[in-house]
Amino acid sequence: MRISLRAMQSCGLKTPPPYNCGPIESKIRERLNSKLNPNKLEIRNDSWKHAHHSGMKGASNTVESHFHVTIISKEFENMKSLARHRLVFGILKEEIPDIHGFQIVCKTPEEESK
Amino acid sequence: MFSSLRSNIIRSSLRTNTINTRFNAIRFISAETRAAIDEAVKSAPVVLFMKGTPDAPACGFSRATIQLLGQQGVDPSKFAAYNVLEDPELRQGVKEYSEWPTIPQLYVNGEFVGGCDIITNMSHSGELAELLDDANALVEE
Repeated sequence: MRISLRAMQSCGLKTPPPYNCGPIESKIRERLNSKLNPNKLEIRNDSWKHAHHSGMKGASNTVESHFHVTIISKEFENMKSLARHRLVFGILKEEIPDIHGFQIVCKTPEEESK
Repeated sequence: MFSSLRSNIIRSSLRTNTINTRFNAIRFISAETRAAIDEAVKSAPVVLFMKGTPDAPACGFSRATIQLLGQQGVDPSKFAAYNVLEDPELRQGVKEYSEWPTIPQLYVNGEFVGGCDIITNMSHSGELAELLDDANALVEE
């Protein structure tokens, strides 16, 4: 793990680093899988796109700072998008404070198939 | 306290470059922070807590949100933006107040609407235009 993280950090800014799953991403996956039993869960680490942004200056976490998460789960049925996002934020309340940018797409299987 | 906060409201035109009033370094205790945010939320029909200012957003998500509000034609006189980077207590306080862990945060008529993802979806679906129109917050054509 240590080697892969170093590889990510030394990577250039303009191209995505070789895919390596860091500890925050692993935790996100584990928690969402166990709480939402998703039909589909995609976690995209966009940190490399933002590592040079002014808002990230001096940040200690530049390797796992930005995530885009797509969750397809029955748990979202009969919930408005605000409630869906709050549910996800609640599940990830320990991880979110360490993340600079967190985008979420929450859909039910029915919405996804449309 | 309220008047000092109000004086720091960044009233901005979404379309032209205008004034940027800076937040003073105001220190609140928690209950006061809550009361001040209450006041801020009600200071205009459309209120955005963001990173940076409408003219110089300091984060891509705040920038995207400002652009969406501009595209919808939000009336600058009905809009107030608060730069959370100018005040650490506001930055932390607004997350607790809204029970929402990220910035930007949009309020319309005192009601929490959501963050950047939700606003983006609502703008695609037409819900955002409807909400802003119902709030009488758009420039008249």
